[in-house]
Amino acid sequence: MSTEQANDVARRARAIYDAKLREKLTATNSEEFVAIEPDSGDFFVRETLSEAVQAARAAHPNRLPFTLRIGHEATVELGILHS
Amino acid sequence: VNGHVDRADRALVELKVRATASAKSTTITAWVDTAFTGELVVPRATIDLLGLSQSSVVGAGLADGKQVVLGTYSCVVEWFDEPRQIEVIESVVRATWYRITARLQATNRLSFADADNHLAGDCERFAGATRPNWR
Repeated sequence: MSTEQANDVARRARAIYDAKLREKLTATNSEEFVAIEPDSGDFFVRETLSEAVQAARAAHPNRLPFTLRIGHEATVELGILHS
Repeated sequence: VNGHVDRADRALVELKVRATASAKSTTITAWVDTAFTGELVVPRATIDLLGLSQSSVVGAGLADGKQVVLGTYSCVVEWFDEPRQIEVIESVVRATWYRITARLQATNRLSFADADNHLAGDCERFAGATRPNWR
C-alpha cells in the first residue's frame, strides 16, 4: 500500500471515529484499541493492538483497517525522531 | 525469555520471528524500550526479508511531537515458548534497533543478566508501559 493510500485509509477511518465513536468509546473503553474498516464502517475494540487488527482482518480479510488507541491522538508512541 | 544488558544499558532480548506458524524463523535482538508503547517495531528491510504481509495502518507519535501514518504487519513470535501472532510496526528510521515492549504479555516478567550472567535488572509493567528497574 502506498503512503497516499495509507493516509486515505487513516483519514476516512478517523472521520468515522470522530463522528460516531470517539465520545462513546472514550467513556467506556479508554486505553483499548479500535480497528476501523472504513469501507464498511465496521469497528473492532480489543485490549491490544494485535487483537484489534486481527479481529478486523478476520471480518474483512482483503481490506486494511486503521487502528487507534482510544483516548490518545497516536496509536503508538515510538519515542524516536524521524530520519 | 532471557536477555542481557549491553554497555549502553539497553535491555536486549533474543526473539524468533516468522511470517506464519509454518514459515522459517529469523532470530532478532530486540531492545526493550520504555518509550515505545506498541508491541514490536522492525526495520523495513526485515519486513521484506521475512515476507510479512501488511495488516493495518496506524498513527505513530514521534519524539518531536510529529505524527506519521505507518503500516503494521502480521508475524508470529516465540514468546515464553509460545507462538503468538502479533502486529509489528514498520520503523520510520533507516537504521534502528528492533524494539519490543512487555505490553506483549502483562503476566510475564522480563529479566536481564550482564555479561557475567548476573541478574542486572528486570522490567515490570507500570501504568500501561514497561519501566526498567535496574539494580
